[in-house]
Amino acid sequence: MNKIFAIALNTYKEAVRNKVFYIILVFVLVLLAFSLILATLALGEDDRIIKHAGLSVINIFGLLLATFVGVNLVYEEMERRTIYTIIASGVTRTQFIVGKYLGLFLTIFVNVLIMGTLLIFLVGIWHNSTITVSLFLALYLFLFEMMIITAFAVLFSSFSTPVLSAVLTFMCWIIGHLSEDLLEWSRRLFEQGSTGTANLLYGLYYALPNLEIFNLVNYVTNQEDIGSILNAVFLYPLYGILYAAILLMITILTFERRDFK
Amino acid sequence: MRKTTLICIGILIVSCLLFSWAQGKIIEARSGIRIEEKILMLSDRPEVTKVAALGFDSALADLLWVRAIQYFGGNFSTLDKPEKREGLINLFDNMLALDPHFVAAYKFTGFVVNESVKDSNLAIDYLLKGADNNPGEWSLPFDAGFIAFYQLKEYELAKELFIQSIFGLSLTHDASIQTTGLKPGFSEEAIIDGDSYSNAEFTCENSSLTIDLGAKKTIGRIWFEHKAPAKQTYRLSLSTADTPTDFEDIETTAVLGVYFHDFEPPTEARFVRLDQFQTEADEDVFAVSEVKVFGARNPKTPGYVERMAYEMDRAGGPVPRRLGTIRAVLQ
Repeated sequence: MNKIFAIALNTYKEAVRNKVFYIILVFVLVLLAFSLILATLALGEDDRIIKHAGLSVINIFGLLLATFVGVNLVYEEMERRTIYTIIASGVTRTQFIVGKYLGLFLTIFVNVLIMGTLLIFLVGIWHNSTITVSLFLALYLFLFEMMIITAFAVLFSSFSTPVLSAVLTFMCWIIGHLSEDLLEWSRRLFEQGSTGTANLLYGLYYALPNLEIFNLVNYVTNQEDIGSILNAVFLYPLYGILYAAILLMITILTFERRDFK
Repeated sequence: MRKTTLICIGILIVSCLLFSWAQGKIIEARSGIRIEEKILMLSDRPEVTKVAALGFDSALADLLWVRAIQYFGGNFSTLDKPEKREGLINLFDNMLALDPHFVAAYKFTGFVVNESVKDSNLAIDYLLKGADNNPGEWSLPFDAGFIAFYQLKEYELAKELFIQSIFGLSLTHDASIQTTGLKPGFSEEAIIDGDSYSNAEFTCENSSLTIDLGAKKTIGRIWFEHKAPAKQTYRLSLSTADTPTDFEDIETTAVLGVYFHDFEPPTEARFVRLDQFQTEADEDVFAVSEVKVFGARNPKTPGYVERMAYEMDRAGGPVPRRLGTIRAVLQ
């Protein structure tokens, strides 16, 4: 366990050394620009715009961070041959992958925490508007979306080049946000009697991630029911953790069989 | 200085000069094209835009909102021209599909389509679509009602919309109706079809009219209306129940034209029954033109909306006089 934490901490420190936290500075600038410019253009709807823009920017930056840091994680270690030293020092491949994954997730977690705090500060203090529970819930659920995206990035990084891994991770993010349509499509086909295709699509929906369940950006300004709070607090995060765990297991299995030569 | 450096600086200066010249030419060539219209080249199928938004629906709706305001500001006097109208309507459709709960956007769309695009019916459609998606927002049906009153002079429609802004949509829209004593040639549908000018006539003896709301619902108001053939006072009895046999009497009352009963606090029931019909002239004809059952009163709706709804009953008067009355009501 200590070895996993050591690798995780090292991954986090490396990300900090690579100046990934500069992304927060960009975030602040974007948010300030939105606040100052749109307040004058939005005809009284600046509160709503700042919340949506803030959460969307956190979402995009989180995705970029997970993708571009994640896809290099394993690949760089192998390119620089540092993996030999690590494995030779008694760290198993499983510990290496889990440590790398946790390190990257820690980096994203700290990023989201800082960006989220800044957003809440801006909404509550500067704009003096209501900070709703859904705003916190949106940030909370977003972490679980990142948990899955990070797992995809590490999985692809374990057997592919960074560019291809980044493209594949990004594809998974797109598919994840559209996968609920497969379910709807499957239902319609089932009603029309195409059971075979309907079952195939249903199976695909089960296998692909559903990232829309983590997306509360569209609900933070609407006073509508965001579904059962219990689902948002427990069920959806559980789904995220399990999906990431499955991906991580596949990564470990792939990496165990990989020849480093 | 090294030779390579000098060459680089030379190329840089020449490139900058050429770039500046090219940029000037581009600005000149594109001077006739309004950049702002490029944003209107959205998909004409809002459902496609929604899919393409990849979860950033509300954020994209916000961008379109800012763009719509700027576009309106720059073109407000020419938006009734087909080429301007098409792009703007497309922009509105996309914006509202992306965020169906964006109340300010519905109000703005209603205002622009009515005032600048000059299509009052379409403006009412947008506002009512907003009311459907945001049932608690009294101002959307109110704005639609005001357009119906002021622009279209459709006072009956305006009254309906003002009432909708107080109580929401009538629960009778998806209710079934059972009657006894309905005279031949008259239909039950006439009672709940929303047209208060078509009557259904009953015999007074042993007649009743029962509305089944389909499930137990919150009832804030029961509305009964009669407009033809002769104005006279009716008497009827009103009762509600959870089962079709277990009616609890609310009141027996006299009616002249319009009658309504408000429940304070709102009551819960599935069935509403009107019976024990009597007419002032002791005739055996009891005419009902409309019965509506409404949900609980929206506490946010201002009191003047109800008074405006009743003003709409004075249909047919010239608009300036009616507007004067409305102004008096608003004061």
